[in-house]
Amino acid sequence: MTQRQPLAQGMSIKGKEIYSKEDALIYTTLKCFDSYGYDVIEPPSIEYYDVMKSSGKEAQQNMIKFIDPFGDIMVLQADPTMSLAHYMSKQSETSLRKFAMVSSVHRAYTLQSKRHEHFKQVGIEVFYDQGNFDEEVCELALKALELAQIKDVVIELGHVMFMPSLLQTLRVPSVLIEQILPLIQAKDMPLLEASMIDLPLQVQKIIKKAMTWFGPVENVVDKIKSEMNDPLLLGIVDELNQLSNYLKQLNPKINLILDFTTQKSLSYYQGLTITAYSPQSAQPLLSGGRYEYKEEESSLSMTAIGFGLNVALCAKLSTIQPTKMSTIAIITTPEKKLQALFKANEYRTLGNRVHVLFDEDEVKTTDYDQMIVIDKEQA
Amino acid sequence: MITIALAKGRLATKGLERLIQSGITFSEYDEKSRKLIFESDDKQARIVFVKAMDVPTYVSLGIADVGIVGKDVLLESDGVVNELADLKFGACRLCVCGLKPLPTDRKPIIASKYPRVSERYFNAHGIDVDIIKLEGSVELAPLLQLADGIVDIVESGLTLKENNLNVYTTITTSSARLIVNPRSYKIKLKAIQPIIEAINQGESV
Repeated sequence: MTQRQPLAQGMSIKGKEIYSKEDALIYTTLKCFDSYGYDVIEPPSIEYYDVMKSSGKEAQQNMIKFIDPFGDIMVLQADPTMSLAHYMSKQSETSLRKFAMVSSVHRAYTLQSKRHEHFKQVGIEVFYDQGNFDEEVCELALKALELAQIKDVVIELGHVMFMPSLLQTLRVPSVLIEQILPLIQAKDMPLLEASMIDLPLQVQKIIKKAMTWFGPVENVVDKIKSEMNDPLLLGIVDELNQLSNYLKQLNPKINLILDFTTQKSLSYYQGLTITAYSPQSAQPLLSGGRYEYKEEESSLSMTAIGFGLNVALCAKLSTIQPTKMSTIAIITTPEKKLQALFKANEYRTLGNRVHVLFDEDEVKTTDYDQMIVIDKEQA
Repeated sequence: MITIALAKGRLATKGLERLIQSGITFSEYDEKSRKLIFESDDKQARIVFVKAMDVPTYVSLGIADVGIVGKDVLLESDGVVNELADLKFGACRLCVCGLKPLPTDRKPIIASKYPRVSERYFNAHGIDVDIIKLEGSVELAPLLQLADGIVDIVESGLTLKENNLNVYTTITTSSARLIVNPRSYKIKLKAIQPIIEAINQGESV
């Protein structure tokens, strides 16, 4: 087999193994979400920049912006949650709405990759004004990961309000809290220690200890309960502990960790966060959380929770066996073209991948399972 | 198995010393060997030798779980890592140096292995400069009039002195840092913790 010319940078051949896994993953997860009453929707791929403003500064920096013919600033879809939240904020009544979606997310390049990034995600969003949907959404995250059949998944639950509440309880000045929180997020210990230099030693000690409050559920819960007695903080610990117990009842084999040092990966997150990792990937497989959405010009705010699962990454790591498909080459002449095309369709309806070729040399460029020649002699 | 990325040289020697002191031994390791990967005797860890500038890349992409690297390199990198401790060795300074002070009547040209740090520093001080990225022997740039000044690390200052160069400003100080991949730190905590404590001389982080 001879090699074809490589494709231009940024293009890749998505072989049948990958696309059939991606399709299977999207189909099965959406079917699962549908069974919980979620409306499957398609968010816009181009959005008004104003709609994306609540994503936070960092997310805004990574958006690909442009001006449309009417002079409006637009962005390539960077966060479908924002499109949905904006839509919901325009509704006269806030009532329960559950959405499931597949969307492409676009981000400006980093120095490392030197290319703009885009990936497909499948996920859900629930908007509500009564009750709490933490269990349902986490359960669906768990189910989506189970459907993806990925080995050694670790699910992390966190709460973005824990650390700010701890710092407030310790009476750390609010200016310093603003400085310290990003350092806690980055686990930048040398800078954190330097920033805390003016705080009482006891407070420094507790904050340093709090930086280790992540890991397997029982260990972390016991550690915090032995150190803290603040009802607000213990309330957050109990909330995550109860949610962990529920998820463990659903799947006793689940590898679950808690992280109380979690900070907002997106500026609008306000409470519970859920992230799934695999030892085989530097990127999270799934991430999401609970948030309060508030339009800049409006007093209306609403609570929502959701997550997005990275389709390509999950398909890559999935152990789902793709449908077996044979690749057949039909070599023909221009005179016998129609006959060859009919033959090719016969094979395709049987589930094969069929190429009709006029040049026998082309066969050398791909790996075929079977070759059929239809020429004058045969006809 | 936990993968530790080290840049060959003084930082690696010191890091290895600390691992061995705490009982994580590498009998196969030979300083003169050209091999780049060595497994620990208990097969729980392996060290990989990479270029200093590549340590944050290996760690941020999760190829290595832990790394030892200078703060100067971290400042230049855009990889996301957790910086767990200042290891207090490998101390140096990142400085603006040259044969004479930077010109004020035209746009100065700066040569450096640290273009991003240089750009941030000069932008913050409102000085418009052209930056040329060099990979090594940066001290040559002002001597051969490739640049008006350089931004480079200064340890003893001997190389600068021998080449008649002066330090004009210290941008920042640097020392070895213990870094860890954020995902590995969470999901391999039990296996990583003893290695972190070994490198950080028994102190947990």
